[in-house]
Amino acid sequence: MTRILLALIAGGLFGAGLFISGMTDTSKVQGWLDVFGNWDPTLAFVMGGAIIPMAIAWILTNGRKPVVGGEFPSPPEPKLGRNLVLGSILFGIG
Amino acid sequence: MLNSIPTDWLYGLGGGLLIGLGGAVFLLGNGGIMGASGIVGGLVDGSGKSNMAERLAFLAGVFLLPVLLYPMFSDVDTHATTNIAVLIAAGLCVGVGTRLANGCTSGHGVCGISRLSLRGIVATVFYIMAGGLTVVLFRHLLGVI
Repeated sequence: MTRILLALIAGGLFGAGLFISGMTDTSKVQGWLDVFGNWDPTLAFVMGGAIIPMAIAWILTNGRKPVVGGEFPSPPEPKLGRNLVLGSILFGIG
Repeated sequence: MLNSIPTDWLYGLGGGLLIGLGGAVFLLGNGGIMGASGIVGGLVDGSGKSNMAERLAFLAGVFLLPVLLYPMFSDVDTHATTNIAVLIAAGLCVGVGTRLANGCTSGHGVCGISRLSLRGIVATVFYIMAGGLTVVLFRHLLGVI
């Protein structure tokens, strides 16, 4: 039950953040990508704002366990691979 | 000083902080990486069978909050294209691309970069470059979007 409640809260914060930041508006996302047109830097502020609490959270994982138990995600995989690049390019196009 | 900063940027920063806070709750609480494409993908391809309820609860929050906030904001619009062919093509690219790359902006961008993951940084560089080139092609050269 705690898992579900925490997931709902996390999703709510994510949804509220996307909405308030303007990231549910495709013109703002395209504006960020439109470097040769009317460039809109808003997405950089969203990204910067999101990375701050998240970086603190990663630091806080040191020597702790998740609230509901279990383990934190393993350290990032260093291998890059073709799928990562190809997939990201496809995602960017979309 | 705040008056000289465009309000869009401030809302962007505030919204971004909320997104990061969501990721922090998901990580410290459930021990998971808050990647939207992974959470949705697991519902579709069966890999998320063991924690369906958690995934659905997350998605419920994602959709519910904008619905609740919507009446408090004026002039809200997705400005999404009405061209069905473009929508389908874009959706397929996002779906296939994020599954191949194992992540999107929330997973690779927010959760990855914040722990200096090389994969996250490389993915972000590639999807932003590809997105930028696509906007140049479709907006400035073809005039589709």
